[in-house]
Amino acid sequence: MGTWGAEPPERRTTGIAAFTPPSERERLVAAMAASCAARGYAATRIADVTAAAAVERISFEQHFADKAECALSALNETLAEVTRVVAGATGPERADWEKLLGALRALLELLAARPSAAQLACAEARQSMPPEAYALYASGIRVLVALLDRTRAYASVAAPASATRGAIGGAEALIRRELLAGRAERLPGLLPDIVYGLLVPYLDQREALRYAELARETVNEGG
Amino acid sequence: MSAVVQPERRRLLVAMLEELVEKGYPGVEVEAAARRARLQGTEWSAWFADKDACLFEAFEQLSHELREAILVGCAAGEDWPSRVTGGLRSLLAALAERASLAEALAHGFPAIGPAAQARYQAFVESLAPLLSPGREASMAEGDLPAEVELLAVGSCEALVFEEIRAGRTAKLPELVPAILFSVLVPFIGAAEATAAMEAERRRTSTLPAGTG
Repeated sequence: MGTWGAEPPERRTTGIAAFTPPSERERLVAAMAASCAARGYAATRIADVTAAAAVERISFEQHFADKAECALSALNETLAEVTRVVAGATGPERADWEKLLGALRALLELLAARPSAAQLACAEARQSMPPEAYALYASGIRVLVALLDRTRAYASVAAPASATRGAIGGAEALIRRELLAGRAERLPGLLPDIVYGLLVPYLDQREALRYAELARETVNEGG
Repeated sequence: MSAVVQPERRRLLVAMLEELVEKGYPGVEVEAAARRARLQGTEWSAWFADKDACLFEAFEQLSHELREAILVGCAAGEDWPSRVTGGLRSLLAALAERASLAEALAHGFPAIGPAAQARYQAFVESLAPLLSPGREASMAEGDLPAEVELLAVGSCEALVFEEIRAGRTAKLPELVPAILFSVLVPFIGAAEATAAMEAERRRTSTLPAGTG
C-alpha cells in the first residue's frame, strides 16, 4: 500500500490541485465516495474507508464523528464543486444559450472525471443515504431548477410548474444509467440529448432540435 | 419470473416490502414477514434461499404488477397521447393505492445496495420502449434524439419519486396532467403536450372527487 493509500482520489478538474498531495481528510472523503459507489452506503464500513485511504481509525475519528458525517462531507464537496463549475460556465457576459451549453458541458465533464463522487451525488444520496443526504441532493436540484427555469422566458405556451424539474429528471435518468453501468466516460456524449430534453418544454420543437444539433457539433469538435 | 404467483407467495412478497419500509433492510426478517402475511405452517421457509432472494423477488413482482397496470391503462386510448394518458393514470393510481409499496419501490429497496439500485434503474429503463410509438406521433422535422424515450420516462420517474419521498403518494393521481406534459413533450413538442395536459385537466375537473 502506498503512502497516500491504495486508491488515490479521482483526478481533479484543476491542474493546481494535482500537484498537491491530498490531505488525510481528502483521502478519507475520496475513499468514502469510492466505497459508497462500489459497495453502497449501507454496506460501507469505516474500516473499508480507512483501509482504502491508508489512515488509522483514530485519525478518521479526529476528522469525522461517524460514517454519515464523512459521507455527507463527500457529498457536500461534490455539490460545492458542481456549483463552482456551473457558476464558472455561466458568466454574465454570455448569451443564455452559451450559459446553458457551458454549464451542462462543464457538469457532465465533472461527473465523468469524478465517477464515484457523481454516483454518490446522483444515486446514493437520492435513494440510499440518511435523510440529510437527500436534503442536500434536493437542494442541489433546486439550484439547477432555478438556473434552467430562465428558459421559461422564451416559452410560447404555459408549461406546468414542474416542467423544469421533470426535464432535469430525464437528464438524471441518462446520467444514472451510465454511472451505474460503469460508463462515466460516456457522460459528455449525452450533451445533445440532454440539451434537447431541457429545451423542448419551452422552445418550439424544431428550435430544440437545432440546439441539440449545435451541442452535438460542440461535442464532436471537442471544443 | 413467472407472471402468475401463488396467493400465499404473493402475500409474503408484499409483507417483505412492508417490513422493509417499516424496519429498514437490517431489520427485515422473512419470519416476521411470514407472520405479517399470516402464512400457516413452514412451507414458506423453503421458498427462498435467504432474505435477499425474497426481497429481490418482491421487487420484481411489484415492478411486474406496475408494468401490467401501465399496459392495461394504455390499451384503451384511440391515439398515442391518449394511450400514454391512460397508462400514466393507471400507474399513478396503482402507486397511490399502495403507498407503502411505493415507498419500498423508490427508496427502501434501492437502499439495500448497488445490486438493488441496478434493479431499480433497470425497471425504469424497461419502461422506455413502451413509449417508442411516440416517435411516429411526432410531427418534428428530422429525427428525434436517440434517448428521447428515457428522457420522458426519467421525467416521470423524478416527479413521482419526489412525491413519494415527500409522503404525498396518495395524491399522485392529481398530478396526471402535469406529469403527462413532461412525458409527452419530448415527442410531440410543447404546444401539443400542453393541449393534452389541458384536456386531462378538464376531464379530471368534471369527475366526482376521488374518481380521477
